[in-house]
Amino acid sequence: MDKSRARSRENDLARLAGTGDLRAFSELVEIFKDRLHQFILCIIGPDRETEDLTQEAFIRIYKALPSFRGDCAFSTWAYAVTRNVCRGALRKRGREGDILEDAGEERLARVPDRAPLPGELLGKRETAAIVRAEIEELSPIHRAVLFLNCWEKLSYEEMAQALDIPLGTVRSRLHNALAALSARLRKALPEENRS
Amino acid sequence: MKCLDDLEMTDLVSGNMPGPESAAAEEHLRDCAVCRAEYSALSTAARSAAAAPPAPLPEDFTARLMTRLDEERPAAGLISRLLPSPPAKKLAFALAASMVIAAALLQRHTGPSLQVDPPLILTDRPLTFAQPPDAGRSSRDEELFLSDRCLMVNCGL
Ligand SMILES: [Zn+2]
Repeated sequence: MDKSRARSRENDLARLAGTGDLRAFSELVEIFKDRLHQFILCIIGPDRETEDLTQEAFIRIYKALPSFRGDCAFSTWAYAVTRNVCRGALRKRGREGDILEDAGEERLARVPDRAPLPGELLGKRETAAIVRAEIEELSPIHRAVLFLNCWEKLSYEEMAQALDIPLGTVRSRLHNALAALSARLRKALPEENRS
Repeated sequence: MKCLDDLEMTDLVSGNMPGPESAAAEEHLRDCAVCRAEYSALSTAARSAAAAPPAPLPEDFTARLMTRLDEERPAAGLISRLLPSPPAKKLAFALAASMVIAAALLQRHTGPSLQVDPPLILTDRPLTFAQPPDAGRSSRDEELFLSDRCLMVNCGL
């Protein structure tokens, strides 16, 4: 299914779920559970509560669905609701703040100390594990923009809505995130393994 | 064309540069080794991030969530099942509102001997005990609080 058809299907399901149709909602959960969980991981970082927070996010989404007007993609709206769930969780832990603002930008200069392994050809799975580990080392905002742009393929405008940051900020954060990941991968992955 | 700045480079890598501009930028890349190296580094990072799929949640995640949802909104779920369309929901809301007013009047006439439950929020959300109206609650529609429990026979509606 292409992107626009998938989105239209998701918005249809969201409208149905907003009228109390639990079957439609359960279908939406199946489509989005890993994606919202990944988004929460981006913002909170590896944490044993991220699964509970994903449940929390879906409950919040279900309750708010009657107010979903369908004038944007359901995914963008769902990420915005999830972002607020993360904010609430961080506030409870006294870690509220500017996780989606500029914090962590200084990490751009910090690259791993691991020695690269020249000439060694790693398997696809090993390469993916290294990439994931390097992404985990980035700041929350860098992880979030990389996930939303590279994996979710959201537009700048959709990312701005999902993260509640200005459009210009999306562009500069994305640039810094790509540069930070690139610097880390140069150190962590032998050249042969970079895609 | 002059060298691409950071933001233009990001637009090009992420596919957010309009067609004519991106054609000019690509032509520049062919002639400029500095921009070509930068483009290659950022594209590699973007492709790597795009190839790292989300880690899967346990298989029973959805089932557990749906059970939790069902448990959290038994009465609201019943209302939805009985009256699934939005106009009908408004009717249910109005009905519940009149029940609260009736209950309040009844309480005034019967005095403190009739215990009235704390009001519940009636929205499409699960039933929730309401905060007092002066506890900083905003006056938006979805935050109106009204009991949706029948106070007369305590039937759960
Ligand atoms: Zn150049």
